[in-house]
Amino acid sequence: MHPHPLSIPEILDHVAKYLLPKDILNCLRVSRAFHTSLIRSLWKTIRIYNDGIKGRPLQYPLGENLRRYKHHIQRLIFIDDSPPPYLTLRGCDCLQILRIKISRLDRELSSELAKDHQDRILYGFAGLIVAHISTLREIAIQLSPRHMIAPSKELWEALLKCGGLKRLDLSHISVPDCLQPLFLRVCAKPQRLSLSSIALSGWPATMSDIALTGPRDLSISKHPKDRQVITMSHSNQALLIRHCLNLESLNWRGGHGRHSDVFQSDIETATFYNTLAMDPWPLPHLETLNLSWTTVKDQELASVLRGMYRLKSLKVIGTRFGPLSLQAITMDRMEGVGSSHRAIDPQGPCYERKLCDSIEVLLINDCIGVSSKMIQTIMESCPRLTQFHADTVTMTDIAQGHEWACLRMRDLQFYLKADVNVSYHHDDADLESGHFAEMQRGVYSRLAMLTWLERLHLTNHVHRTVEKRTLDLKLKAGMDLLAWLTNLKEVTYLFDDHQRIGVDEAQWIKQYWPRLKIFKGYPNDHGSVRQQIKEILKPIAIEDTPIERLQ
Amino acid sequence: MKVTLESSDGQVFTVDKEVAELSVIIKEMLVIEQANQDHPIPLLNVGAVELAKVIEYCEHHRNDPTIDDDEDYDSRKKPIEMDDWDKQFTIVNKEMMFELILAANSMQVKPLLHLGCRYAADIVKRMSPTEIRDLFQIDDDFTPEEQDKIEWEKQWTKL
Repeated sequence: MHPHPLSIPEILDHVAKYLLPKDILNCLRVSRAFHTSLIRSLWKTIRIYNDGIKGRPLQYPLGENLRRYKHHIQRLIFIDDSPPPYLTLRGCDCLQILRIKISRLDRELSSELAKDHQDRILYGFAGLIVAHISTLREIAIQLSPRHMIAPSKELWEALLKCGGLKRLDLSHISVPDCLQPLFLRVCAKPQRLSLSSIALSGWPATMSDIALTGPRDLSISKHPKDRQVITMSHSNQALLIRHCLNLESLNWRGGHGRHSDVFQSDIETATFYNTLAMDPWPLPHLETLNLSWTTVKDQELASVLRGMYRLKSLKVIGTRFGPLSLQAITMDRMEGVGSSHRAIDPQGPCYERKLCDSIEVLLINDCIGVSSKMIQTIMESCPRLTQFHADTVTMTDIAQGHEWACLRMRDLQFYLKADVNVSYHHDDADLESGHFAEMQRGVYSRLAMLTWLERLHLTNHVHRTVEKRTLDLKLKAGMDLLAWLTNLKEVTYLFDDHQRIGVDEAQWIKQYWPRLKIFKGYPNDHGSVRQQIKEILKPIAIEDTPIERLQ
Repeated sequence: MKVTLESSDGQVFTVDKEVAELSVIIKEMLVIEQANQDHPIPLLNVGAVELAKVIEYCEHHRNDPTIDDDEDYDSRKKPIEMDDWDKQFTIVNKEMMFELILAANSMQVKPLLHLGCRYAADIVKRMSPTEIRDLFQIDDDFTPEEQDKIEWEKQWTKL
């Protein structure tokens, strides 16, 4: 007879992850061993939260308990409340994560009082940081968008002292000229740096040679709601990025959002990209780029891509990604280069001849500049691609193009459009012979090569109300070629009402796609067949409502 | 490539290497003992019944992304996804599930360990301390003074 699992402290720790504080409090009384293990779990994260409802009891421990168990605290999170017993805590030997958010509290206060209030809290917060510099790994400071407080020197000095800081998130903070050098020295430290709506007036002349060697992962953003807030100029943002010499991943949303009224002007964007892509290219390690929903233009994106040594992930949803960017990805950069070409250090970071040789993730959906042929070109030329989201590609372009190179694809979402006018009520004979049938089998045979595929969306989600037509999901049409796609978990064909999936197909799916969990679309016009399909495929989720046909 | 595993009661199982490697312990053993692969890997703490069940679980989850136990920097970690298959898998008696938790722990099959712990948490949640003691045959080893102290510790809200 084995011991019971909860007698092993590590197992009890895991169990505690699935318990709420009130359940843990209950379990404390079981035995000494339980108490010793669970008290650690209970104190691991202390979240102090003021939701503004008066009279609600406080949800955090104080007094003797706090003194006795503070050494278990790993995460301390203040949201609109920062009681003095916590701001003055010292000796939390495990404290790794510290977050503070001030947004609600100051709504009730006048501007002056609110500033004063935030100043006092930040002063205490700086003391809390200094007392735990040796253990802190992650700090987040999110201040009120209404006031754009400029924290005092003490806070920046405290942050600078945290030798092991791996992640720093700052939001709605103003940095006066005199503190800018200090601010940049703080930014030079963490591996992950996130700056959201930071007001920094100029670029300090004395810092032109500074190297921000820490950040591997940098995010610069401005919330769409912060239209009125004056933040860093675009050229300064680009300069800051260029000084992060070890940068691997950049996520830039500098000053805009999805809504057209907050798009920044073309001039500002142009300044940003001109500054960022200046020769020589300073970021040899940069391989992940997220510029989704920004106003980046095709030639601007292309100029950045041309600088990059290699490209692992490019997320540019809703941008003007177009032919120039595609060319920057697919061109052979060693071909026909003269002596003027950049000297590549053999010891240095890997410089790919073609960016398409290294790219693994490419998201270009909602990009109006992307044609069907371009999508086919990408599938032909990116052998490492595992995730690809795009808009419309036609069967004709696939059938006329070369074979796909992206054999490691796991997540493919596009609109594979049947661009041939075949009657919606064709006979099965149509599926087996004729030009359309031949082309369709050709497309199926391309898909059949993607044996790693887990998610296949055939009708994407663009233009939701428009009726679509994709592959006929019929065995006779060529679906039987997909028998090797045993890893499929999700297949969707929404907004396509012409499908006539039958019982045979459902049984085949059950047999050949054992991991399938989602199969969404309108399978068949006949209610009884739909019901049978549902029964066979249970518990796979299927959608069975037709789209509202136009007219 | 195939790997053979031997349960504590001497039964031998042959599985794909990638399936066996869901166990961190076996993965590490395979690295160390690369040359010596003729002998089955002995699992001294795991009986045949449990091992068969662990293998069934690993077969189903062979292609899942690996779980990072590192929760240092991201506390927004989502709970591990539990699908219908997993739900079916956990419909066994409590004793079996507890044996599986122990097996998953000793073999370090992380996703199964998490699944089992979630199951255990759901049981514990609905019970009083006395019921928990009865179920797991745990002795109440607190003195009355200590019991009082815990009652007092539970007063989170008082200064």
